[in-house]
Amino acid sequence: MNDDPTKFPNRDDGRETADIAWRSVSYLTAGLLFYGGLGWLIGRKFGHQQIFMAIGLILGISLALYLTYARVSAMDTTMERDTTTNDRRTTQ
Amino acid sequence: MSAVVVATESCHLNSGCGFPAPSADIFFLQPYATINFFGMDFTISKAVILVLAVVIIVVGFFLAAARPQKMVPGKLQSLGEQSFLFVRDQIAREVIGKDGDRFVPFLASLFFFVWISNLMGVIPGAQFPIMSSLAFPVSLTLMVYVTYIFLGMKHQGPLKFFTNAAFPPGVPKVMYVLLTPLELLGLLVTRPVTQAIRLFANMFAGHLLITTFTVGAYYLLSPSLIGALGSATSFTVTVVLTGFEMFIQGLQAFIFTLLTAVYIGGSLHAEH
Repeated sequence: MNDDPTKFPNRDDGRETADIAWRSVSYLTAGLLFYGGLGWLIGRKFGHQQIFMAIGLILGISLALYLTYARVSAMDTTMERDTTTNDRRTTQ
Repeated sequence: MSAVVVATESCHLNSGCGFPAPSADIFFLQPYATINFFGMDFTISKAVILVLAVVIIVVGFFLAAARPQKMVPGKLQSLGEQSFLFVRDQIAREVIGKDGDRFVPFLASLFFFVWISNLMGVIPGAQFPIMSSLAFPVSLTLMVYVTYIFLGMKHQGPLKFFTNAAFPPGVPKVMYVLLTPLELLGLLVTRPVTQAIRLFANMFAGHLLITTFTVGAYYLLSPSLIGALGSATSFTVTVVLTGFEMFIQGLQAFIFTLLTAVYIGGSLHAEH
């Protein structure tokens, strides 16, 4: 009964889509904080603080975007793999 | 009485005192009383009284709606059921899936508590959105945080929960060195922080905006064409913004609950 597809629309797909949408915000914040902070620390120790911090911030944003992209790609693959299972469930 | 109210009462367009723009001071409420409890000072302010009122309203409503269990539901029972079903169908089942049903009481309590707390910002007499006091969203977020960490450790295993989160799928292993800090920082720090700040900042900004235009309407009210036009415009904007703010209040309560459901769902189901 719990597997009735009309009762639980989208199921995992919906959860994963919502999850990744909100996750991207936390990745961006984490990227800026961690790598920006790391750049700031390195700059504090070795000089050229602004350059190191700028590099850290850009690296942080780039990695956050890459991580979001990688997660969405992984999600697409999972969805494609599960399509057959879903189709079988709907037609039964 | 806050500084803005004092400044506004004697200040008009032509009195030469300038516009008494409301600042963050309006969110620091004057304490009515301070209770010392085991060496800690508990301040009773408007926010505390309002939060107690919200608890009584929400608990009272659902108790009253659930008390007379009739086959043909009355208006109150019907409204209570519809409210509960909204959270179940739109948030719990939609986001968490088949395991969502057992979290509906938690999610529904959270949604209605946050929504009515926000709504206090536009209710005449109350006019203070409780969630614009950072302590309240932070307390709620801590509750959500403990819940999803506990559920994750229970369902995926204490260590597995963190390793699942730390090593994202679909990424070359070399990249783990760079990406694992982001995943862990996201899970443990930025997720709860952004959840709390999103609710707080929306309520804070909305209330400040409405207050600015309300004070503006009062300040500009004077026997001159510019004053009358300006005051009328400012008042109209206040009314429109109040309507918009009511929409935001509901939306933010929904988003807060949705995020809670997303985090709980993520803790229950390991990544593929």
